[in-house]
Amino acid sequence: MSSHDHHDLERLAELAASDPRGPEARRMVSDCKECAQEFRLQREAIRYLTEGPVPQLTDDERSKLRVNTWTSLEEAPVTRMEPETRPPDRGVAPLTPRRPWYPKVIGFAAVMAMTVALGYALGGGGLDMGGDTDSLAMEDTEDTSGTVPAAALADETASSEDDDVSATTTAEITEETVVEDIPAATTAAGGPATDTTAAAGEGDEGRSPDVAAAAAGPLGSAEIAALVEHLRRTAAARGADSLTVEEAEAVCITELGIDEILTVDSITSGDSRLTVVSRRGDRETEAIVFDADTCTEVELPE
Amino acid sequence: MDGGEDTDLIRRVTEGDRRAFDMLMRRHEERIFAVCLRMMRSREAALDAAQDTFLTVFRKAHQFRGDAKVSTWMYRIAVNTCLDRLRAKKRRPTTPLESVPEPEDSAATDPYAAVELRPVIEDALARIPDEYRAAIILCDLQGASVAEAADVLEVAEGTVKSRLHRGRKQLAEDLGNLREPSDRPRGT
Repeated sequence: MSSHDHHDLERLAELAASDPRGPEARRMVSDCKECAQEFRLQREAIRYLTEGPVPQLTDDERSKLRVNTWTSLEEAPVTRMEPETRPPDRGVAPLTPRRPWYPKVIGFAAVMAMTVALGYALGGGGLDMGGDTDSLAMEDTEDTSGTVPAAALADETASSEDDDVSATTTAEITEETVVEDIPAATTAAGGPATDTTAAAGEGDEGRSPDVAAAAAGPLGSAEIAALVEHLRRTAAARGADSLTVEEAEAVCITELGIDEILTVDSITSGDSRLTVVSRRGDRETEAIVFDADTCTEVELPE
Repeated sequence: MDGGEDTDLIRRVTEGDRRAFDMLMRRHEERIFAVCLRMMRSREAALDAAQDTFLTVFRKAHQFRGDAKVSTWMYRIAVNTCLDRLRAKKRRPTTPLESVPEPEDSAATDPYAAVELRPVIEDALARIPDEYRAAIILCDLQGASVAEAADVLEVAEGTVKSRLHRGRKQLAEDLGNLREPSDRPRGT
């Protein structure tokens, strides 16, 4: 028997999920067998549906979904939306962020070359400075006009090399630089990159205007090639069986043809140590990831 | 889940910020996959549909007007993607069985690799018309309100209620006929 002419089945369906024990539902089913039967079916269906666990992505599926989605986006980029950045870490944990070492090395090499050149000029060019070039270090480093207080600059640069470049490497490179003389292109353009703490940040007032000006630009391919060649010879001179990580990275950067470098960092992905180079692209900063042991570019795992 | 964060992420996506899109994907991938899985009944197909969903989200981010929550908009895309795929599958001429070996159905052999629901329920759900199933999935399995489901499906709330009623009724009758009384859910 029914106390109403119209069975509001839609409302019944709504109440079955939202408020099955509420007064409205009770009233609707209490005196109508049809409504009671409908309500029972609705509740039964809901219980069937909710008795299973919530489906979840497995790790593999999650990785596959992300990789495939990004791959599709890369393959068919949206022309109206210019990407700003690459996707973030994708599950790769950064190891130890390093500031770029190339700018420091090359900047330091440039200073050392200038020191040698100045020493040569002072010694062989007939100027009598008392024979002790070390005294130059005591000169006023505030003087930025005309002559370059190179030894003072070298001293300052050396003292600033306190974190990223190891003492051994610094010493070796210094020694090699003096002996082998870095190519002119490197000394001319080899300045720090974007990391202002590398060489252009503190104490710029005591530096050569050329070096300070060069601090703004990334490394070009010629500078990198010169640096790599220098590192190769350095490694050979000290009888090393293998290159250091930095040297291997430099070799790979050349082999992969990467220029306009802004930063170089290391990350770990699983058991692998990978190198991430950010470079100045045509329209945006690009990131290139490679294995420095094999010089192969890698796609970051999801 | 929204709380303005999704809206901000969508805005950044429209500006070409891929990091924002990655964050958006991570926030919603589980739910989108769950919807797709229940619609498609295959994890592989669900992954494909979820991927298509996110691609559509990326490409149509500029069309999001903020009338609904971002999650609702994304559900809408997911459900429509699944419905399109299911319709296409029905339209596509079937390949003769003898020409292609039937792939093994992992759901039938590995209960843990299967769709989340028990197979008998899954089968019953699959026999419900796609539009009814979408309403049931959104409301009964994903916990959306009728209003939210109406938003997602772009139909009137009354239509959602009607689809819920008809779909559940068919499901319950189907399962009631298949199951032994002892196998029915308790409390019914």
